[in-house]
Amino acid sequence: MKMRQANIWFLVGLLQTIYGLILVLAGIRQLSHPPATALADLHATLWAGAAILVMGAIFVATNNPRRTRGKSSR
Amino acid sequence: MQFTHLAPVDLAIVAIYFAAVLLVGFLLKRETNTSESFFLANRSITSWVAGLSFVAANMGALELMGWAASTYEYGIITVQWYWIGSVPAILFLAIVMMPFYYRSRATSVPGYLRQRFGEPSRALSAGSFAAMTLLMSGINMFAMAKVMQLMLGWNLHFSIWASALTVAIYVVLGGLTSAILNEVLQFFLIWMGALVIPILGLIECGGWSGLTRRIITNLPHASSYLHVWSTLGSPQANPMGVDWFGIIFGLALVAGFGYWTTDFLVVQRVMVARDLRTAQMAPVIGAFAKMAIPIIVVLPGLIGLGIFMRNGSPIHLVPETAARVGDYTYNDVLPLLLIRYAGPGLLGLGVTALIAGFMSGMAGNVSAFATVWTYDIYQPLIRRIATERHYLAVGRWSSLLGVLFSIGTAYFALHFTSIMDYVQALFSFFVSPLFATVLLGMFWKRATSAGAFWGLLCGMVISIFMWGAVRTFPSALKFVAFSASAKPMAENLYRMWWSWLTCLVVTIVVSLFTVPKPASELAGLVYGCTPKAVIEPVTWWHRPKVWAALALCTVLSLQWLFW
Repeated sequence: MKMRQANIWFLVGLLQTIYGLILVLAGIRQLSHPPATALADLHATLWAGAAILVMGAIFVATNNPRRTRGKSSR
Repeated sequence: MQFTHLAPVDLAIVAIYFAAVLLVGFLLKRETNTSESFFLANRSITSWVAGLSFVAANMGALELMGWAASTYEYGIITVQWYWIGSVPAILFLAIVMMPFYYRSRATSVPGYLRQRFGEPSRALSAGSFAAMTLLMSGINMFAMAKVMQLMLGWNLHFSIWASALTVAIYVVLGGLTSAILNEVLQFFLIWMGALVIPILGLIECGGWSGLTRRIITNLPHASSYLHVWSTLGSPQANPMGVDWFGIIFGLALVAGFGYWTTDFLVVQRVMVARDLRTAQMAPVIGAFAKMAIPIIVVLPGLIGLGIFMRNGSPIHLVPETAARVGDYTYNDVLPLLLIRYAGPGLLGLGVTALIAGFMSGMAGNVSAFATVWTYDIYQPLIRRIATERHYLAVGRWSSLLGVLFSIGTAYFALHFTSIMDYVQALFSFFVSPLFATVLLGMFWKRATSAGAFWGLLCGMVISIFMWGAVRTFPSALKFVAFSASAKPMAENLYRMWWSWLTCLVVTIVVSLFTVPKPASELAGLVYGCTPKAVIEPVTWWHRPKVWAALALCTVLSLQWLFW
């Protein structure tokens, strides 16, 4: 893979997707094993994971290097 | 003693982060084969990438923790370092100064000074910049390792070497492009990791109104912690001990403009934009990003005031100077809040944010150092003529040696802790006189080479002299800062002001007695000798001036909102 400037947005999205998945899994586990933090009943890990996952998916979809190749990057 | 430890999932998140930044370096390795690509990122950086890296490179190791701690100590006034102390200066750089920097095709700020004033000014500014940059990044590294030791129990040597070598690898492989692209990545990580604190903090305190109610109950003089201007009438009326004069002239005009318009660390990011409009648009985007950072820095400090200051709070914070072993200090406010809200997973992301903030600043230092060293010191003074490959190799080696030198500084700081304050003071010595030199060079065609050199030298010498005088004879403080009881921050602002003024006056006087360059040599470098740039017609939402005006209006409305 050749790194171009436009690909950094794709890489950001990829990293967000991975982190989102990890956090969602950790969040699901914390539903039954709540961590010893304040406001644990709000399930912050799960919500944050879901939000990051959605953001990652948007970044990956809109910056896919296969689709945007040749188009001038913004 | 350590606050907490990381679960396996947290460690996985930190490890993936390290893998990602190294990946960017390795992917860029093959195309980084010319000095143009290593030092100047092929002058092809787009506006969003340049704008975000502009702000990320500016972050120090302790950006998040340090400013949250200052907010805990001094209240909401710290937000001015992000608003009035940054935004007008960034917009000035974008709209007024960028055309000269960009059209001179200079490779660095010292490079611009050579075109305008000749070799001596360049050598002086390049030498001081190179030395200070490395010292600062070493000090930052030490500070970061210290936090990791305190918070997570990580070994000091491990933190120093792991983070420094990672930065070295990705900068040596991919040069400036690698540093810039990773800064974009780090910018997003900082936000993802840190945002949990303001969100959950506001929920716990009952929103902004609940938070202010709590602070008013917790603190005797709460109004000075919640307003940015209304308590600046006199230094005694606010916890920081500054007045409106210090904020407007010291912070906004000299410190802010000096830093954002002449510090090559940040200016480099926008000098390599792909065209002039991009180079102007990037700082404007950066200004909006800078304006938003108080959400993850200042707001946590205020939330700390709402939570830890309460009667009956199990955690009690004391100032650094009064801390005994086992006490929590103001500096711990952000880590403590992170631990309070972030369970396994989010904690790893938060720690990643702290590391990313440190690395973005460090990589910025290293890449700026490599450019200045190779183009402004090595090429003119050591080896004038060499092949392209040779300079590329020098760039890679100087990045690596720069990192090693920083590590050396970090170990030096380990044994002489007070060195940290010295270097931070030293750094401010060089920024403010340089601002006067660049300002006169850009806007006064009568300024001469001799004037610039002697002005710069006198400005630097006078600030070192004032600093030394106050350290040797404490009574000298009342001559430097007009008050024998000035706080270190006030002394700093006044010292910067005096060195700026010295440089300005000396440059003007010497210039009037020496022969200026003919106007024909100043085209493109000086205001008034430069034909107006032909701006390609673009729709209004692509014009930097439109967005700069919007940024200025936003920052002014924020002043009114938090008056």
